[in-house]
Amino acid sequence: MEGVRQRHQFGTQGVAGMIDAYLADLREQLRIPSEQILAEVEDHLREGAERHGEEAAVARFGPVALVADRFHRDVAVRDARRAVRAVVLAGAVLFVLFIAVDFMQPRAPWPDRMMPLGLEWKLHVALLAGQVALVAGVIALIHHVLGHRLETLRAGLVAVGAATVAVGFHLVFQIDRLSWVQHTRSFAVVVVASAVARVVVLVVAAVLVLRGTRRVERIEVTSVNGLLLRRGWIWCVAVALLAGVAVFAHDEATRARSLVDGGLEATTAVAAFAFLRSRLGLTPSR
Amino acid sequence: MLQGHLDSLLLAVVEGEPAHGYAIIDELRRRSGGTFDLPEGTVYPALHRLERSGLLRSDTTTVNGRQRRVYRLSRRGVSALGQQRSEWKGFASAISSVLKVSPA
Repeated sequence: MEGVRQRHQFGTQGVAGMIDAYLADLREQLRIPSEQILAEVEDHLREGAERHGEEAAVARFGPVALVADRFHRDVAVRDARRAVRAVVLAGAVLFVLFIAVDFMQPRAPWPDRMMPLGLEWKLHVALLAGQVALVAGVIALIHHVLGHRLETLRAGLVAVGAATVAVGFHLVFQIDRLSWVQHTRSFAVVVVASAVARVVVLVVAAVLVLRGTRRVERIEVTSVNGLLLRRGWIWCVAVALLAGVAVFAHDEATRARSLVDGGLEATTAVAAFAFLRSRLGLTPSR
Repeated sequence: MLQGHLDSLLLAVVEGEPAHGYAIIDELRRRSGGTFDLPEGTVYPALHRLERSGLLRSDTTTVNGRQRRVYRLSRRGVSALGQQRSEWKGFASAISSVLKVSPA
């Protein structure tokens, strides 16, 4: 590659310098680490030139913009997939943390419905996990701005949306922990409303993540082992309903909390299913 | 349509023996009787993606003073290619059955 750089630096012109000019153009247009790519492209073009001449070799290789775009698209898809997976993993971490808090604290309701001191930090960690997902989404968005890929924008929006929902959920989750609520006559209304709101929010978040994952995979048209979670939202709703029914076996005091946990569990289960399915390269169901 | 099956085609081409990008594209063109005549530069992103996903491995050698990247099928690639062949056979058979001209 050093040779290419030097030759281009000295300004080779005309057909004889077409390969150098092509490589220089490609170097300018690639917004990803390009040394290895350029070395490989140079090898290809030089071999092509030995067989068909420089002009034909460059023509057969394709326009610089097209080649650069294909490289960018692949990187954009990879980054978007990572962003979506980060959201999925962050959701799983959130779930584990919420469950951990549940196990480590006395069963609700406490006398003052306040979380015991010393456990507060776990919710902060959970909130942090949500923020990690948010950052992943922002990264995907930045990549879109740099790469001008509509698909990445959508995936980024999904990531940000899901993460925002996760953080929002955390805030809603706090409602029935406020001591003033239990002293009001509308305590039951607040708890039920917040529980319903959480489940709705979680299902919407799950659908967003799944649709985003599916969209990202669909972009990668050459991936035969794609994720392609078809009708993922039906699974999500079904599992959430089952979880909802199951938790009504619990006593009334923990029902609202259990309902929330059930929804969260359903979300995480579907997300984990999607993640494992993509990692194991299973054939999508049709 | 070709883009949707490019990964399988590339895996199949390097199944027999390792090859560098130029040879892979040449072989793809030869095996398809010239039908698959893609802009050559668009094949490299696909090769890189297959390597990232662990289906291909590559080694760099020096030929005529130039760096050359030679691709070979990984164990995962062998398995994926087998699965893709099987899927394609089922798909092609189904399409053929539907497109078959019915006797008048």
